[in-house]
Amino acid sequence: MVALLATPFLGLFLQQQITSSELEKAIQRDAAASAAAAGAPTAPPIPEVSSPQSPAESASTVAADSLQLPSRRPGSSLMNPAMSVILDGTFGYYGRHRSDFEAARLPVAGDDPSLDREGFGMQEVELAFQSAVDPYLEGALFLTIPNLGGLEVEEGFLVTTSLPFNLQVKAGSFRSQLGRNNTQHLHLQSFTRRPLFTALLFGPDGLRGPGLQASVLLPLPWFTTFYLEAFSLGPPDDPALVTTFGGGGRRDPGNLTYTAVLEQYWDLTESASILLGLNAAAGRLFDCLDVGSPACPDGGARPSRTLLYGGDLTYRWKPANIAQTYASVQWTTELFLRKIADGGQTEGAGYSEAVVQVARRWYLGGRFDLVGAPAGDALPRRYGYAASATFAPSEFSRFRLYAQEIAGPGIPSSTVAFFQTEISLGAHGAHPY
Amino acid sequence: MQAHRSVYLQTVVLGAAVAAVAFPARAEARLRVVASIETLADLAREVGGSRVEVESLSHGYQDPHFVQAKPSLVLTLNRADVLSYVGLELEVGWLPPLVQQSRNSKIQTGQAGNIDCSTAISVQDIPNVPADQLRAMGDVHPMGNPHYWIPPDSALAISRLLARRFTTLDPAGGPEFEKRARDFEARLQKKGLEWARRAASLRGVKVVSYHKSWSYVARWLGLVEAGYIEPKPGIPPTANHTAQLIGLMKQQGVRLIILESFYPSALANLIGRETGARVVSLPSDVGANPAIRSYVDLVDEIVTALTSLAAK
Repeated sequence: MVALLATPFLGLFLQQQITSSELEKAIQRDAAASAAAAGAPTAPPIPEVSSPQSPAESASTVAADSLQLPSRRPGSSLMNPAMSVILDGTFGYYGRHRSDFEAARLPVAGDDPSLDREGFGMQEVELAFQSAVDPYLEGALFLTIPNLGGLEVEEGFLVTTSLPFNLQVKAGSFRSQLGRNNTQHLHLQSFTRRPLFTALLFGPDGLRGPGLQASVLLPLPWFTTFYLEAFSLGPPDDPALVTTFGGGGRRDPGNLTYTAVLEQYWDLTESASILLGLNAAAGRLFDCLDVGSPACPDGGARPSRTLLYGGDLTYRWKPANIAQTYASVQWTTELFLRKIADGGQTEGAGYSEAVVQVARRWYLGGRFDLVGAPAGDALPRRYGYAASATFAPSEFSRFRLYAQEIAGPGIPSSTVAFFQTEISLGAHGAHPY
Repeated sequence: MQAHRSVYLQTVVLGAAVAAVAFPARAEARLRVVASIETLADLAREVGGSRVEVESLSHGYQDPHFVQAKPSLVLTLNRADVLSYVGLELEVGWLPPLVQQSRNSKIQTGQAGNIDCSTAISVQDIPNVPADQLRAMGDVHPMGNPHYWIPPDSALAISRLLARRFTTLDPAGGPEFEKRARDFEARLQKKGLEWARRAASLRGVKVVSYHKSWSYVARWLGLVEAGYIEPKPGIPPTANHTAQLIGLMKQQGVRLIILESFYPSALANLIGRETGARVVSLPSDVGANPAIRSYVDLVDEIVTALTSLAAK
């Protein structure tokens, strides 16, 4: 199946480089077409010409002038916020049997293709609205419809722009700064699925929710930002799923989930750089809120805190003059350890992924997921091996082949394969680091 | 009580020490100007002289559409009094998140320290296409063509805008900014005459360029743009489009292909061989090569390169 899907991709890949012979053929075709139309005064054959011009007029400025008539500014949207729509469509399947996959105790993330919908699906629809609120605040709203079911607020927040002392405050419902992947929306990723640890550690939607974030850019010679966050995270949608936090629905600041993140960045050379994140979070497991809760490791003898900590490291090599080579590399590794309730087991999970740009519009990626290192009751040992090939015809569209093999002791290995299309309508999004 | 006072004192002393490290008093209150491209940085130096400290976020040998939004640039912007940028969405892919993350109120939109240089010039190529069809034209700049900084008229208009804004931010420097802007204008007028004389032979010469980024230069020098190697802005060349372009160039007798030095020249050379047109790789920004240290150097080199090739 993968080979079947790959064939048109290879064709497109080969089309990337214009060779002399290919050009020769195109010229011959073009000359033949011109000869066929000989005698008739045709407009010169550049497709950009859209306005009806006489041949005499077009002789001088043809291709140059089609965009030159000043009329209005379509980029100005009056009082509307910058709006965009991102559609992620997928075609593919999970495993030989869906039950194999479920038996592996690997829940899918909310913006992964749904387990309930094999074949064609719409992995996510995202509606984004962003705007300055006033001279002091910016606001953003990201609504998502994952897998064609239900409208969710992925993020909706205000962020300050003019606090003193390099401070910034974000308030609303938003993605935690914890880790690298957790901060990213689906369309910033080079793989169709989130890392395996996402749903296991943070719940299907990652670590996000209503909360408050304060951060400070520290006055150091290199980029260092320190974030503190507090979230009210509710119980997991699926009670069988042990997510690290989720007891924040009850009153008492002690039940909130708190995170601290130190993010540092260094330019190694003009082309190479690293981003290092140190992450820690503490909160309450939903089931461990009450004394005497049997779900707690010590039988709920005392209410206890759950700890999560880890680091992420991103290395990037991208020449300043990207157009000369169209080659770049990004390698990201993230690891987390957690201890559910005081005295509980220490469990860990992580991944390492590399994405290599091999041509102007082509990216190849590989990701290795490791869950259950060390293993625990809620995090059995699992391995994920994923590969992706992404073709990006323009800034606004991407086509991706993605395959993943999931394995582990005592479970049959499962295959996951998807063809993903991603398009973006509306405002031009920026490319964060 | 004694203990409390001592703790209080320690806190104050520690706070002061942290503040001293965090916000050191500047020896002299020079305006810190950060420009998005090196040409704008050079124009800021021309106008600001010793009253400004200038840095550029990108290098002249980079494609200004695709600068990486590195966190180190956040730090540069955090310390800026002024951000001077091209605008018209040239930097839309990288500058907005940097400005937001900079936590610097002085350079946010609407502040005197936020200088959109495109407001000083008359914008060309505003697309005459319904907004919902715009992207079908490629990665077109919806506000108009942002590649405007090379003709002397543009540089002059930008330098005047910078002088006005610098004066707002540093009123004591007003007379100096005014004088320096006038000096620059006088030098440009002299150079402008020289460039016009040297480039007289270019009037009416048909050119093909890689990206639609030489339209302002073409209008200034009287070059006639016959087509582009990119089928649509930001879309990589295809064999069919290239073949059509070659046909067009032969039909119209286009003898010159121009492209920025940061674009790969292999395809332009191939088209050059097919059509007999000469390929000239032009700097488009100060710093495109180490010899181009100022705006005047930049235009000198462009005029020299174009005239020497067009003459052959």
